[in-house]
Amino acid sequence: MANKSKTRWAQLRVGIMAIVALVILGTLIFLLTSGGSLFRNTVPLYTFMGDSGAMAQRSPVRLNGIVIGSVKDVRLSGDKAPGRAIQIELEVYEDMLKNIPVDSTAFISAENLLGTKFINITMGKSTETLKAGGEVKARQVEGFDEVVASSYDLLTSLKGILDRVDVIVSQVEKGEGSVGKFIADPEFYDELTRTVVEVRQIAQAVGDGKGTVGKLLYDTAMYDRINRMVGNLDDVVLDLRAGRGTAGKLLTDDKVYEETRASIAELKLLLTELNQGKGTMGKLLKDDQIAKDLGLTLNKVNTTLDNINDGKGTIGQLMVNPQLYESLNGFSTELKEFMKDVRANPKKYLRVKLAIF
Amino acid sequence: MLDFLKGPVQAVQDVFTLGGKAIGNVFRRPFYWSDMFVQMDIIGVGSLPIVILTGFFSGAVMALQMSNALATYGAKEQTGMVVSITLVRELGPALTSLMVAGRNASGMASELGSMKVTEQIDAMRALGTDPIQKLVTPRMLATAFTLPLLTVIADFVGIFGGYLVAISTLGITGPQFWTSAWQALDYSDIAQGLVKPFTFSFAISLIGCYYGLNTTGGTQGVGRATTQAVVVASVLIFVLTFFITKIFVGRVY
Repeated sequence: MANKSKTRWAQLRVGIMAIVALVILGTLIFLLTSGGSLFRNTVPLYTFMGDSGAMAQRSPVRLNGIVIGSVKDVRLSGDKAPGRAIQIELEVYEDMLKNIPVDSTAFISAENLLGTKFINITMGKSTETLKAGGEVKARQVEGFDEVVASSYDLLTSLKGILDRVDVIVSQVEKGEGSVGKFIADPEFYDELTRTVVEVRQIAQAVGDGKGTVGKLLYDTAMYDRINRMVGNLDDVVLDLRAGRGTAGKLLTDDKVYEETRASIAELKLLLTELNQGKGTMGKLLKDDQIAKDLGLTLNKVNTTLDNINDGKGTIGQLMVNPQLYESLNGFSTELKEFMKDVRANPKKYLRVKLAIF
Repeated sequence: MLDFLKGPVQAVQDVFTLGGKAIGNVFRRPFYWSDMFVQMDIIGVGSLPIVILTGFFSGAVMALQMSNALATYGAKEQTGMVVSITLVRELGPALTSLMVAGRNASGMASELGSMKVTEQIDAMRALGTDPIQKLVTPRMLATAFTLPLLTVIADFVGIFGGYLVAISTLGITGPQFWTSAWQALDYSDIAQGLVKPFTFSFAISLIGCYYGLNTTGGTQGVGRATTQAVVVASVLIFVLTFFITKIFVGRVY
């Protein structure tokens, strides 16, 4: 009997332990299935890439970061087209298909630098969604190695630049070149110091009111003059406004305006008469006879001038014949000498004989 | 050399024979239900305190240790994940099995060893009772049934220990810890965490019974058998956990 009781107690204790353990296990399985994929239908989707990026089977597939399935298989596609060498079969929850537009793009991503890789699908904008067995377009993302390889050229050129900069800096340190002298040469500093001292002296002089600039700034005489000038101008303006003086009257007096208007009217009348050919000037402008007479006169003058140029007649000879010029020249020279002689010996020529009858 | 190797090979063969007979007896009358429940009580409920303590502190220590390492990568919030994965996959089954091995493999070996040296086993056989049916099969079944349950409890208590450490000293919120802890787990983790103790239970019970039934040399021999049972069972647990992990890891990735 005692043995039976012992067995019952044992059964009870074992039963309680088993229930506790199974409740824990059940809770965990419930948690896993509530967010998991045990009872969710999956459909295949395919994507093609140039490189598998060491993608492992059962890696998660995410749609904008939300897990929607897993990678079922990664295999060579046998397709020679660029970027299609690897076929990745995705197992996506059927109820998620309606959230994947046809223009969505898939790419390999990693949770962090060390983390496991996954396929991330970026949602497109199309209203049409993918069908089961459809293809998700792949976006080629350069892996870490490719980035390193492509940055090699950049690093090489950067090194070249740095070498050259190094040379320049060493030259500057040695005090070579303009920049080097600027930094290393004490002469420049001295020069700068002197300039600063001079500028300071000038500023001091200006401050003390010396020189033109100083006086301009500190002497009140200039200001007074300008002030007076402005005052005078003010007076002039006032006079003008009041109609005093000629300019003032010009501005304000109606008489001047009237006279000007009358003058303009007369001028207009004069011009009208001229146009009508009245008076001497009018005829000059309008009468054809006068123009013809003038033309004839001018022709005659022309002929006369041509004759002169050709050396015809007395005036013509005078213009063109050098003999006449030379003889005149000789005559004037002789006359000059004669006059000189007369001045020197007036008695020789001025013999005035006074005789009274 | 051959004589030296003969002993261990013979032992392995005997253990497998014993295991075969014990498993065969499961499908053969008579069933010693009461013996089995008593053994379940001794192995399962009896080991509960030590398993809970071990699990709790291993989880707490795991949280403390891993949080430091994870903080280096700025991932302290993932402490729950690390604690749950390590406990469910490895530490829970291994530590629970070691505790049960230390407590019950020794108990079985000493109990059966004492019976052997006092010729109770022979008497039993003379009375027409199969000692394997009466002694080994209930122990084997009791261990196989209770060890996975103990492991589940140890896992939970361990994660709870990690949770207490996380909220009290690491500044991680409770929901954050629990969410990262259960989200990290996969069905394969749970399967691994249950397959391991189930497999270890056979190693523990059969090794304990084998060394008990093969005890020679009086009371001194009982002591020796007990020590050997614990040592061999513990080593077997580590060897088996490696192979089971290898199978699961190889399958998943």
